[in-house]
Amino acid sequence: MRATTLLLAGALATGLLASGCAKRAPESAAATAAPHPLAPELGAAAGELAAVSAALAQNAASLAALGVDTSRSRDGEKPDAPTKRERDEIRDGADEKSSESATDLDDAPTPKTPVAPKSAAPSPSTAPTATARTTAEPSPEPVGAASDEASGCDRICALAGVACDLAQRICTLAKHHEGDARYADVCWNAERQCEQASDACADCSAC
Amino acid sequence: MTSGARTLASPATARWLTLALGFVLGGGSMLVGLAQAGRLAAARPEALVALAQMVEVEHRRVDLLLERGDEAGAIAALEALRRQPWPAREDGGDIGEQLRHDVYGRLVRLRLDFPDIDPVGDDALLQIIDQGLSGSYREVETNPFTARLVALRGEALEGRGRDDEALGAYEEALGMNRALLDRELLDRELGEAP
Repeated sequence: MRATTLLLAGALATGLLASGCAKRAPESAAATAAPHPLAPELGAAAGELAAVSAALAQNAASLAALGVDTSRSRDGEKPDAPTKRERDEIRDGADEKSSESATDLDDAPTPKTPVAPKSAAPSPSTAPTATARTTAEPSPEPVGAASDEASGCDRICALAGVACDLAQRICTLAKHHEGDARYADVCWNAERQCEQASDACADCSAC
Repeated sequence: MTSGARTLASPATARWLTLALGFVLGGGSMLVGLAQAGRLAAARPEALVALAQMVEVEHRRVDLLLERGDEAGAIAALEALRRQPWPAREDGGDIGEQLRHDVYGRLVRLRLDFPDIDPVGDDALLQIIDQGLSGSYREVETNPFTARLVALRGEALEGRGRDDEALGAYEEALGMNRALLDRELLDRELGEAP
């Protein structure tokens, strides 16, 4: 799922890149007639680039030695959309965990919720990413509106999951501060956000 | 479930990564697009792109190390990455800031999940988080990496018993999440408009 999402995002990246290219056209002509105003800085950047590229190559070699093909994306998971039952469990979870010294939201049981099926987007992505989420794999299906739709829905559902995780943590904390209005207010707001986001996730997933 | 598998496959982690995927790919591609359009925020786009690629490769290495149960190696790799010189905001722009928040966030997540590995004190962990956020994180365009690191700051504070400050951090992260959600819903609404 994450890989599919990656492909979808890659399609978006390609679109944005194309947009940028289109906007650049008139400026390119000017650029050929005069030195780029950032030329000195870019020259320095080129030196940095060489150093970073060398480090990158070293990393890639290390990965290759470990048997990792860096041109392929990881298999991902579906973003977990919180269900109503899960949201209801937030309060219960808060009750249960109030006696614990610390909690780890990553351990919270979160039943999987179906996410709208997505069509894979084909675009290879060379855009910078912050985690291993790019792919150069060709897609068997064309990029289309449906792909963008599914990608947006995935993000909404992921945001819903984050909101509910935060709500669980906040409300657990609030249990330790019963009678403190600030804790209660933040807990209430967090639960509302969890509920609203989960509804939005359910809505788009049903499309 | 082993702790390593938990870290890799936990739903919350998957959510963050899914978010990161969409937002950063979009943001990164926008960076390139804007660079070519002459409206780049970062002053050194080539170096920034190379940095982003290096971060990506390191993330893959960390993935592999975690799959093999080598949490110590994963933490060491992220520590090395954290300690590298990061571009100033005027050079790297918001994307550079987000990349740093991403690396610090993943490192802190592992530090919190595996406190016995190469342990650091609570104060040191908070210092790491604050170093990652720097003082200007609120000026960075809202993104899931910063939101995650802020939420992790809350977790670290909560672990120290500083509940009021933890609540503030959680509330701030929740606000960022709200903004991201609103943005997605608006995009969706605009996309559906005739």
